[in-house]
Amino acid sequence: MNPALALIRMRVASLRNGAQNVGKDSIAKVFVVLFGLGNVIGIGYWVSAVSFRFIESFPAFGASLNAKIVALLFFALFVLVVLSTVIVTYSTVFLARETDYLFQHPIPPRTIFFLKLAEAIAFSSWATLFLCMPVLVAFGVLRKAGPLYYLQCAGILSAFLMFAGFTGATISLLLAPVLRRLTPLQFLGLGAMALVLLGWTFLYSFGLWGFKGDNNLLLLDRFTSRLTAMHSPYFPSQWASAAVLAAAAGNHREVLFHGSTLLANTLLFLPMLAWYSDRLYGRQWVSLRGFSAPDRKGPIPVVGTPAARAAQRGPLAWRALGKGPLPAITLKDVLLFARDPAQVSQSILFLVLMVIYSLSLLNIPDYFSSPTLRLVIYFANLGAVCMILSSFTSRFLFPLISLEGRAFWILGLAPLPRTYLLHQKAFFGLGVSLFLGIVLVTVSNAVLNSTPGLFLGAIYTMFLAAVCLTALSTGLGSAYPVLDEDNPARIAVGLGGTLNFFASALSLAVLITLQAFPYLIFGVDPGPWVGVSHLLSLAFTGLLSAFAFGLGARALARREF
Amino acid sequence: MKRLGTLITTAIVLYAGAMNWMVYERQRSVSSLDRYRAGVTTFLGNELHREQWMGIYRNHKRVGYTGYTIEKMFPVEGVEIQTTMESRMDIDLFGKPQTLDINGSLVLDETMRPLTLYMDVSGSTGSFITISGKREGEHFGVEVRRGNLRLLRVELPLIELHLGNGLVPNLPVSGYKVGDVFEVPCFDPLFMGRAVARVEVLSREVKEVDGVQAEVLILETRFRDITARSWVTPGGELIRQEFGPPLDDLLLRRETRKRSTQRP
Repeated sequence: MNPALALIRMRVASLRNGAQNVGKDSIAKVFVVLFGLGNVIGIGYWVSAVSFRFIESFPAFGASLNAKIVALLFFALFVLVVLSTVIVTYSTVFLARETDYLFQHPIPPRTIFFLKLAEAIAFSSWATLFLCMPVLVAFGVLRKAGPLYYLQCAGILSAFLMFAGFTGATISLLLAPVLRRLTPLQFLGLGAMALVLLGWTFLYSFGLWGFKGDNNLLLLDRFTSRLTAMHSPYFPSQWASAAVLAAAAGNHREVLFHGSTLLANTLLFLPMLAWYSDRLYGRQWVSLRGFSAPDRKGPIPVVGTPAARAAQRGPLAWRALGKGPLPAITLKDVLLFARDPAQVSQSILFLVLMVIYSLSLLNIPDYFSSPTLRLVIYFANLGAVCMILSSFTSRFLFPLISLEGRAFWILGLAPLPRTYLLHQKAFFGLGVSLFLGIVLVTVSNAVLNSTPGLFLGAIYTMFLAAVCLTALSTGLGSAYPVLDEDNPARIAVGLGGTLNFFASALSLAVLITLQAFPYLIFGVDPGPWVGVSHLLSLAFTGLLSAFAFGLGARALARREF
Repeated sequence: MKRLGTLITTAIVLYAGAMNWMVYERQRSVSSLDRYRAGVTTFLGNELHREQWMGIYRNHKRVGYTGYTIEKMFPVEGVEIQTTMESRMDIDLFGKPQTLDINGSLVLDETMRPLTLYMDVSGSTGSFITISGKREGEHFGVEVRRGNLRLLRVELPLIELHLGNGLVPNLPVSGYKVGDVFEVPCFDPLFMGRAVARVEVLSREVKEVDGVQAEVLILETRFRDITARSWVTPGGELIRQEFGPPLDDLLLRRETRKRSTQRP
């Protein structure tokens, strides 16, 4: 049988089994996931429609600004999908355990390469497709576009995501041999340099410092106008946005022209990648898996010398934690995290998101000066900060138990109860998420100039949110582990991960509503009712954490390995 | 199978090469145009149709409106640009209040040279004059009639032409840069003839537009001894136009088509 066909059949069977297993899951879990996805699409459409309508209500520049926003959307998507595919391709095409498995079989490297590449691109761009389509639908409704617009948009978006995916994959293949030769320090240094360069370009494009707070539309207009790459006729995001704008205007000639340009350049990747897979992929995979990697460690110190004793002792920070299972397992988790380039790069992206969010607060309009409006901003900021933290816990904490994978039996043999493992993950996760959350909430409230009472309230809420989110991520991560998957990003977007994400969002909504209710009922000065809301929030956090931990601990205790 | 792969690869490379060459050629042809033609091309962009409507105010009182539409069409002969103009204004004609209506359309070819022209100037008592024009060899013949009576016939050179609105013309151009100067022949329906409008981009400023701050370009237009100063967005939308003497009591302000065309 043709190996490519066999692999496709295997994938189809895997998808079919996955779909059948959905029926076996609890109805509540499936309902929460579907309800959450529906909400994401619905809210995406609603927010886009309201924003487009608001901007279009400025007759002088609304239409052109909306067109620029569509162009900006494609530009941002291009950057995000390329970045995401660079990371995912590297881990899927070179590091995944399944790739090792496939190479053990008489399958041509080209087949393995294209199978893994298709997976990487699909994995990097499916969420973009779901999130972007409602925005384009809202734009079409605003411009009263005909039914053909929606079909054209679907085609353009698919071709665009393929192009961005192929670009990211090509960058990843070009960088792979270079990255192999870098030490972690050099890798981090280069990454930091690239981030500083990108950040500077981003802020320069905004012209952030030349504005007062109430010029937001002008700021947006200037930003979209200054990004010259966005308007270049040779840039792929411009082909896609021009095609969408032409489709909305019913200009089918232009749709055909720009769509064909996009498609032609997307197809151009196929022969290039086919050539790479035939000539270079096999060799690069062997060298990147370390089978022929040069030894970078240098000479081994002689036993008994001070150098050998220092090498055995380990870093000072770990020695400070003392001996015992807790520092050992935590050290293992940290090392596994640091050795996975996908984890490190995505955590850097997460930190960049935090910095961008904090910087964006510098531009709060001046007219948000009344106590009521400041309260609205305060709670909106609290919600945003908690959601950022929620994305962190969903992406990095939820997969922790799953990442133990098939080696779980090693931990299982250790003289420790399984619940100890759950608590270790929870405390480790809580430490990291509390640190990030407190930093973010402190910086944002300092920028917002919150009153001392509100400032302390924000830190208290963040503490409770970190507890809730950690408990949910570790609890649900233990209840719904994916032990046969070694890619943490995939674990996080599985059914259990999606359930965790929506459960986290729901718990945050309850927590912030509890914190906000005295202000909603009694106005800006609710007096002792703030204390009542704090107590209620504490009780909610306690109950939720106990429930999530209980669920996780029971599932972990019952599981056979 | 190997030959099929080579064939597909060749087809892909040819397809991509052809499309990228077309993108390059299109860009080259836009950059080889003069500033006015390039400005009109970018003004339309991906749109097939654009329009702008202005309320006419005299001493802060609304006395009429003027609207301008530009549309790209694709007949069998090639690309055509159809512009239409619609103006209505209350004026004092020999001490008698009158409502003056000017409606017209000008069809241009791809190079912005005129193919056909039709204009009708009328008042409350009926049509004053009808202006029609068509391409005749290397000239553009224009005829002015009042009813069946031919009043005038002129031959204009076959160069680019813009349709004026009876006041100072506004060019359908976007992407203005400070220091740009345009000199565009415009057809003036009131003087029944052609004159050159000189537009100079003076500065780029932040002004309040529709209640929010926006960047606008300040343009100075000279047409038949009248000077007008306009605010235009970088996208080419005219926001406001003030006139020098003798029309210094007039002001044009941007409004919607609905507001413009609704009867008082």
